[in-house]
Amino acid sequence: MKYFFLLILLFISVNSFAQQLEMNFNRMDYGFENQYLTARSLGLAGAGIAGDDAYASVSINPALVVYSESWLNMNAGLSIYKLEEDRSYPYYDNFGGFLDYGSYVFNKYWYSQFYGIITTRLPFESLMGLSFATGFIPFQSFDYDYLEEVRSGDYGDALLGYNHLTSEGMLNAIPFNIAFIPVNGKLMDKRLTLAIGAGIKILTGSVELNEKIEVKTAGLFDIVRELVYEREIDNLPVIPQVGIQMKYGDRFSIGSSLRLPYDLEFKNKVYLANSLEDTSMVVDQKLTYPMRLSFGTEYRFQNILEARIFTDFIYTFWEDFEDNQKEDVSFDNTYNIRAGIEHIFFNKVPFRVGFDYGTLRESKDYSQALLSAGTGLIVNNVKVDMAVGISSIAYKQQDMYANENYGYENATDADQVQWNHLYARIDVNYAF
Amino acid sequence: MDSEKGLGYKLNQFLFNWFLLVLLVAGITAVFAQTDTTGYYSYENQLDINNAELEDIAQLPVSQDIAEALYDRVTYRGAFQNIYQLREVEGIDQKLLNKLKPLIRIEPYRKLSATQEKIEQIYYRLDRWSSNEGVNDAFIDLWIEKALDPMNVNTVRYDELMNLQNVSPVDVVSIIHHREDAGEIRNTRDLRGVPGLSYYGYSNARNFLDYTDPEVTGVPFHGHFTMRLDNTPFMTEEGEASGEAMQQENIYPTGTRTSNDYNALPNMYYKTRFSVANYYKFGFSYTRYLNEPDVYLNENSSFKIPDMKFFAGLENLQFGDFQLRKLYVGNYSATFGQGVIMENTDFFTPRKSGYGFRKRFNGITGDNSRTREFSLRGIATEMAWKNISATVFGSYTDRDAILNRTVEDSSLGRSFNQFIILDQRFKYALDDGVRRDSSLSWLNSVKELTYGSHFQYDFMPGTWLGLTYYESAYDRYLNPDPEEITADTEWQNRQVTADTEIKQAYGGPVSRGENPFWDDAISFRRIYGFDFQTVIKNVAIQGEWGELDKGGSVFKMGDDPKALVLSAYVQFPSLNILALYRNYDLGYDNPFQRSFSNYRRFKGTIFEDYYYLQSSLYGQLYANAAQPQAEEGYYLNTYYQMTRQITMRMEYDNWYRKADRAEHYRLVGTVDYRPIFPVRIQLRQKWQAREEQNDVTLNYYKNLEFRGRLRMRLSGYDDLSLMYVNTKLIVHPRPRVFGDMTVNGEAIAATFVHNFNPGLKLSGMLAYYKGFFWNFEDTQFTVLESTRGALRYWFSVYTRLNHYLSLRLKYTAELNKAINYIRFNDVRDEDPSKHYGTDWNRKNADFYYLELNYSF
Repeated sequence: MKYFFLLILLFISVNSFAQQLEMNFNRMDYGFENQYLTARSLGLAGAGIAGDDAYASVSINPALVVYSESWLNMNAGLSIYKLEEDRSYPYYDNFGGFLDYGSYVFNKYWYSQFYGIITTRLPFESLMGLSFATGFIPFQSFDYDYLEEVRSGDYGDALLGYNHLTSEGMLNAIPFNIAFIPVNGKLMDKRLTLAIGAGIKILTGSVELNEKIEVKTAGLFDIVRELVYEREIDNLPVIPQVGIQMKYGDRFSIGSSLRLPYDLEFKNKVYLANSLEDTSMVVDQKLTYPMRLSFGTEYRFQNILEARIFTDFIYTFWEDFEDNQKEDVSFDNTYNIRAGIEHIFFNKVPFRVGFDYGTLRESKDYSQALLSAGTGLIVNNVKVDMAVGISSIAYKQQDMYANENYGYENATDADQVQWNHLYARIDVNYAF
Repeated sequence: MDSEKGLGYKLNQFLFNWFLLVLLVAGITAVFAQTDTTGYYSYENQLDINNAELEDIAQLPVSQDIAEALYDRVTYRGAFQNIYQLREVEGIDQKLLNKLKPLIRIEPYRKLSATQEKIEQIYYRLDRWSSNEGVNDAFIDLWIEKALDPMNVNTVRYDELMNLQNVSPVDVVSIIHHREDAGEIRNTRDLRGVPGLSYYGYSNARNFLDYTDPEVTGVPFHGHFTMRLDNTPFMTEEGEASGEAMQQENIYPTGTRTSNDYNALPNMYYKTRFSVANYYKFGFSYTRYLNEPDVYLNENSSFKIPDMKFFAGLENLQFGDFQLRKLYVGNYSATFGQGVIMENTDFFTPRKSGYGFRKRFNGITGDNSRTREFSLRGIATEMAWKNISATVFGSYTDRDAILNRTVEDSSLGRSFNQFIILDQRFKYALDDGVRRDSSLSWLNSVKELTYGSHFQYDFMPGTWLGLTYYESAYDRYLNPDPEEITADTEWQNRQVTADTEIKQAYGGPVSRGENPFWDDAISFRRIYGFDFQTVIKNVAIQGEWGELDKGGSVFKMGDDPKALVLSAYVQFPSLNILALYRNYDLGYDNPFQRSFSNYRRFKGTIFEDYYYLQSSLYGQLYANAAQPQAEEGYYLNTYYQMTRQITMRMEYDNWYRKADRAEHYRLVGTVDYRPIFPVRIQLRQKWQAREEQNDVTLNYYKNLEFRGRLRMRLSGYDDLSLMYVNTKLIVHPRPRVFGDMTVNGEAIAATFVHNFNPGLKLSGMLAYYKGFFWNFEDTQFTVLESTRGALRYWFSVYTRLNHYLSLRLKYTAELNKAINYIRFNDVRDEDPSKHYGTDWNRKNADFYYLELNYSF
């Protein structure tokens, strides 16, 4: 029982090592948000707060739903995500000089999820472009897998065991957006359109985490363990969001959106799977996610291949994040700067590239960039979009499983962890 | 009740009917109005569709959707070039086109402004300049400025012409002589006909030149903004240790970072330069390298201002015979002659001859470059009176330097050892606990006052004699004792002859002295010398002599450590030859020297073997050294266009290193064969060796490199290039290694470029290499090494969104074949918590590069 409570402490209390980044523990405990919802959105690296993508309204700016093409529009797609993890330790030469990093874990895991969005714009001018959107979208993922093969450092390279971490869970959102155009006129001889929107997202889903040490050699069976961590949502998480978008003249638009803080309450049941006695314990966890403020612009150029550039600035107040199980959780506020460019060839084939640069909540001294590209096909009122995005980051973290479990000296050096992300989206849009 | 109800009912009915009637009338009116539009435009009254508003287009006999589509087509994709392009608009079929034809006329769209026209003429050059690695930023600034605001070829000065791209002294003198002889150069044809002007000189210069003074309408205001963001790592070997340094060492002072000393911030560089008319220049720039924290001018304020470079300048003022050519305040760069005495850049360029791609930006200008260590901040001016010109400059700034641990005189603080150009500017170096414990940061650790001047007398255009002098004063003693940098006992045990270069470094008692302008100064360095140039017909002869004052007489040449560069350049229409001689004394330790050399200072010294130093990061003393090594040698460079199909280039350099008299040569031959216009074959072979004839020295090495390239222009839009590289490096045995060691390298690469149109370019490369490999990748120059082989690829998108704004986005990936089973036997610290080997060494990389340019 002694180490059972230690384990609980480990998984409930992230940031165990104040000088390290705990990206994977944070991912499992607090999730990470799907910020590039549709294929078009990913192609533009998430930029488009001031754009005219009605489907993106359920994610980045509720006001955008007024740009629904038709009275009924549908988007259905598949979201794919790959995380490649290379975990390595520093190694030294004969003279004790640092040489390089040697890998001891190399994992690749794929995750996928379907999504669907419906938007409608009521076909009555008198209703000032009143529009609605709803759908079923992946919002916050807790997915993470880790498999470490432990081998003897001695001659023979004997297999000693496996360390597993498996976190499965996706909180999906059901959004409801409403928006309208209160101003549609002229200002200083140029057309001015102002759209205002509001929406909520209701989260649904559950998370399960399994942590296991599996032994493959005699003499180590006292370290065998399997910890299960079941997390059920215990409240109705509602995320309110308001947005505004203004188009001035033929070329320039600005937009802004405010997403308010929301609470996510989990009832966490933790138990040892392979124990004969009842080890289950229930912990109520309340997470308060912070507010997000976004601004964006769009500029449409005159270009034979049509060209528009979206630039967004997103600020998230992560310092306000709270976890009732861990008083001293400390995140930094983050910002993201996104730029997306869209060309459309021959009215038929879009070509998009995007760049997202932002700091991490774990530390403002860490940044991460995403590069993305996308294309598609436009055939009458059917559009097919696809996009890929890549991103990578390296950070330091202490060895997650102590060497002394296996009879070796614990490492004093931190590991270097390299994460390579691949995002892909493909979706079909149909305007009735 | 019924009647009352009936009345109300009837009233409602009446109102309802009235409403219907109004609707009907409105509808009929609308229909008629719509119908009437068929007659709104006619053959006599056609619609100028390229300049029409949406309301005007809506008067055509088309639906509202088609009207909007027509308007959007012109607004977002540009004007129709002919009437038949209307068919490209969705909803317009041949029948409708036939109906619209007599109602529409195609007029030119709005005329381009002069700047827009200029940009359209040179957009492909802007593409190259925007991120031209290795070229002085001052050139790029000038070229963009002058491309948008050309100079009058009939009044432009020699020095202004000389700073243009690919223009030689012979070219410039030819232009000046011709305009004097002919009276005027009236147009491009005249310029092309200038006797002695090379084709390259002409084709480059014409982009920056006009033939009359421009018609001034308003105040010409030009400028450009560049921003680059990337995570490309450092190429230097010791740079790899810096990430480790940040992990293990407390780089920052306690309490300045809350979460972690390590960071993952990218390289960032932005610069802006404005010019108002031909007189006023302003600019600022900011550089932050990988993993560095941002540095602010006001660190404790809530609104932080980045510690950037800035300048304000005034140019081209004339008061009778007196000219105030330039006056700069803030950060400026200064370069004179052959760079023997003064050229303040942090970057070493091998074989910087002053010609072709290796030109110097002569004179002073505002500094927007990434130079941080050897920047000058203060005031600089260049004036002229008749044939005499004078440049005077003064700078007061901080320098990064390694401070000595030993205290010679406690009342005067610690002395400094060497200036150092840091990849990443942190306060302390890895492993150097002694300095950290004593708070001896290497950042901004020495204050320097530098002032100097350059006087020049022009005998005729292109022929002059110049005198240059500068003096730096420091607030610390200068004592370059190597034992202060090397690890304990390493200096005594491991000295080699090449280390003489360190021993001869300037400092010690001879450097001590006061300064009349600065009370805090306790040491100094003084350099002076002269330069000259003459152009006789098609031959340019240049030279510069510099001496470091160590107590000798100012008027006696050669009694102090000296440096000399002499060159002769001869130019024919299809042939040019450059011969250059340089001779630098070991003791000529001038931190601003950037003259011709193949190698950096401290090559082969213990500073290169960073593992013998107190910190591996002190290896930057060599790896980032910008000074040339002390050497003497001859260099020959020829370019010969044999026929229209065959071009040959040959470079031969033969020199010896002063420190240990090691003989070197380098021979590179290139043949460019273009059998037909779309196909180009380039073959390049390099032979390079050190002490090839000496079998007993460990200095021996030989390097052979072959590069073959086939470039095919597949269409007007597509370009395919295939490359094969084979390298061989041979070194003599070291103790306990028998036989010559040979390291082979091989690479194969394919590069593809597709231009959708002049505004959008997509390019990419796929390569496999093993061993050492250098390459130009889109706009980046890369030096790579892979032990077991690596697959490397990149994609780049370059888009010009409109005349002014362009953006480049590049992704590079590299997958190295993993090395497995690396084991070492720990012989030193035997720490069981450390690893002395690994099962897998993986080196995969993902890099991004973002660049944004705005020129107007």
